[in-house]
Amino acid sequence: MIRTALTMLVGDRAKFLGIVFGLAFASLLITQQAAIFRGVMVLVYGHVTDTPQVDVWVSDPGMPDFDTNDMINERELDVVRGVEGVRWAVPLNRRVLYTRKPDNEISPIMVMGIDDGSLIGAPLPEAMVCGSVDDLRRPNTVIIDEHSAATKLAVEGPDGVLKPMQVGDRLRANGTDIEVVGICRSTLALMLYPTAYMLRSQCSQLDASSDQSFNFILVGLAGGADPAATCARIDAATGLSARTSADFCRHVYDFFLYKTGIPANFGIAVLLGFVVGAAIAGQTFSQFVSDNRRTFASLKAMGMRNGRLAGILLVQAVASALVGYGLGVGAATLFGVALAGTDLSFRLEPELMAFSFVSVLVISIGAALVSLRSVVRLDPALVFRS
Amino acid sequence: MADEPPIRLRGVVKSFGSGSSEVHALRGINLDISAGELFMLVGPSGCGKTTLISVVAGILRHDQGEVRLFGEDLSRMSDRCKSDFRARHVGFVFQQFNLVPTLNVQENVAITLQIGGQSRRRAMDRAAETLDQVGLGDRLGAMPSALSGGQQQRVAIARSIIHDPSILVCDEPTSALDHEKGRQVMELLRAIAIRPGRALIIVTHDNRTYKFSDRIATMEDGYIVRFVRRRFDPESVDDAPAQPAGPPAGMAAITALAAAH
Ligand SMILES: Nc1ncnc2c1ncn2[C@@H]1O[C@H](COP(=O)(O)OP(=O)(O)OP(=O)(O)O)[C@@H](O)[C@H]1O
Ligand SMILES: [Mg+2]
Repeated sequence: MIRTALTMLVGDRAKFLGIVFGLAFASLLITQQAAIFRGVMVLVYGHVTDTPQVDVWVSDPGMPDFDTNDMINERELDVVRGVEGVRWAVPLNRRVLYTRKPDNEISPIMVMGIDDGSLIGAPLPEAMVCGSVDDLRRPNTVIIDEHSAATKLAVEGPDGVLKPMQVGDRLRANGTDIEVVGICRSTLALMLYPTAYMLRSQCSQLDASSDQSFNFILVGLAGGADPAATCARIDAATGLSARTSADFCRHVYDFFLYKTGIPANFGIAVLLGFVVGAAIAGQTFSQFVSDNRRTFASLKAMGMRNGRLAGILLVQAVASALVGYGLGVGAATLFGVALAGTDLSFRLEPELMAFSFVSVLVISIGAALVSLRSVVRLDPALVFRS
Repeated sequence: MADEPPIRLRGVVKSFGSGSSEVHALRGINLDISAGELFMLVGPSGCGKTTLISVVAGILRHDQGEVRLFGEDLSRMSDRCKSDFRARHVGFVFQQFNLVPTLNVQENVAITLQIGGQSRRRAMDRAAETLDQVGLGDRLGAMPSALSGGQQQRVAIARSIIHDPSILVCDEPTSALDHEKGRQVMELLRAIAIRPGRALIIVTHDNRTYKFSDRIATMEDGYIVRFVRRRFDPESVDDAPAQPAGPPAGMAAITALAAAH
């Protein structure tokens, strides 16, 4: 009966396309919006994942998110270095600097002021597109991210054509020319400001407001040290807040998830996809069933049981769901491919695809169940009425 | 019980609605239908013919009286039981054919056997054979919309007999067709639908089809008012209208006839 059910459904081309369109729409919107949401949400802790050699991040206990925090001083850094289980601890100074591009346009950049000695916090060698991290040891130098080099930091030539910023180009900050000595990939690149790496000393020199303080301490643990216990010891010794990299990511993530409008905005889009898709698919499905009243009544008269009829509707619902989902996720993937290299970030994870599939299945089976009621109530004696 | 006919109705009453809008569609039907003959049910519009065959086919519950099909009391059967009974023992032919528009001819015919639980492959094979019998062996893959009305009704007939039902009910099988197509359908029914163990009931308006019957019951206003036994004569089929059933009898005659039967 499965084949018969499918032939029946596909044979009514207009309705079939309507149902599939509704489901594909829902699947596309749910998948695409959720993938962008996930894409944005992994950016917020991008610098943590870009520096995997760091085990523990220490910051001000009042810090709600990565960008808002208070200063930490040298004395606290020394205390952390003395805590049991800590192998090394280095400062990271994060600052927004206003710079002037060669074409005279002003551009803010987010500077990672990394430890002069160890260079921990700088891009990993595999993330370097050109130039070398060691060049940062030369005075007045900076490494910028590849994406921003081609977009926000692109330089307008005399001919009016935008050209990506390159190694050798200069940015002017606080009256000092700084030279671009490297281009790197950075997860943070897709956030608001271009990401730039320079030595902490260099950063302090350029930022008039800055004293010798900084905003993070990056910690490497001694072999065998218990991360949670070490974090607790750092907290107790300094009054700061130490978190393992994973906890730190979660902390930043939770801030955006619970304290900003971002999830609500995406949530509304996802809900809209669900509701509109359900309306289109549900409406078309019940139209399909109601157009086939006579057929269903005939099948009932001919002795088909309600269970079997329900089976037919279910097969039709699941088949529509599969096709609609396939089209929707396919379209979402194309969308993601088209987005690659733009400011929008897109992350299509298996869980998300499962979520989208379940949503589409819920819509289509829901539609089938609603229609099933009318089929079950259908009077087989209808067959003799014209 | 040995001489009980396949279909026996006693005092069958069926009304629709209630109060002032109540319609008495069947007012006490007594009727025996034997197997192996073509039984025709005629009468004016609204007299209850469709209601009667719906009850006999087990798709409509009657209010009072007894309906026995092959010795089984219909009112004792559950809905599910009746479904299974219909799947196995009842065939239907409708005025409007009621083919599934999105299935091809062969699939439409096979569906009867699939409802009865047979595999698609076997059902499709049998459907091809049965369609051959009704002269459509070369149109297996056609969609119903590509066929003429007469051809669609032949498909419907194939669908109704493929499972060798004990009861075959046809409601106005010729009224959507022109005279010639109607005649062909009646000839086909006579040729392949009459079986020794099968009760064949045809409801019709069309007095040109009376000549194909073995027995005619005339209904009026929820009663059967007259039975006429004919002797089917294959030679008469091409002739002018056969003997009509005659003018309606009075109420007294009705009861006398019904009781006598
Ligand atoms: N489901 C129903 N609800 C209400 N009234 C009904 C229903 N079915 C039939 N009737 C009424 O019962 C009466 C008998 O109807 P039925 O369809 O059996 O007549 P019929 O002899 O088949 O007529 P026709 O030749 O026009 O098909 C009619 O008055 C009809 O209006
Ligand atoms: Mg009728």
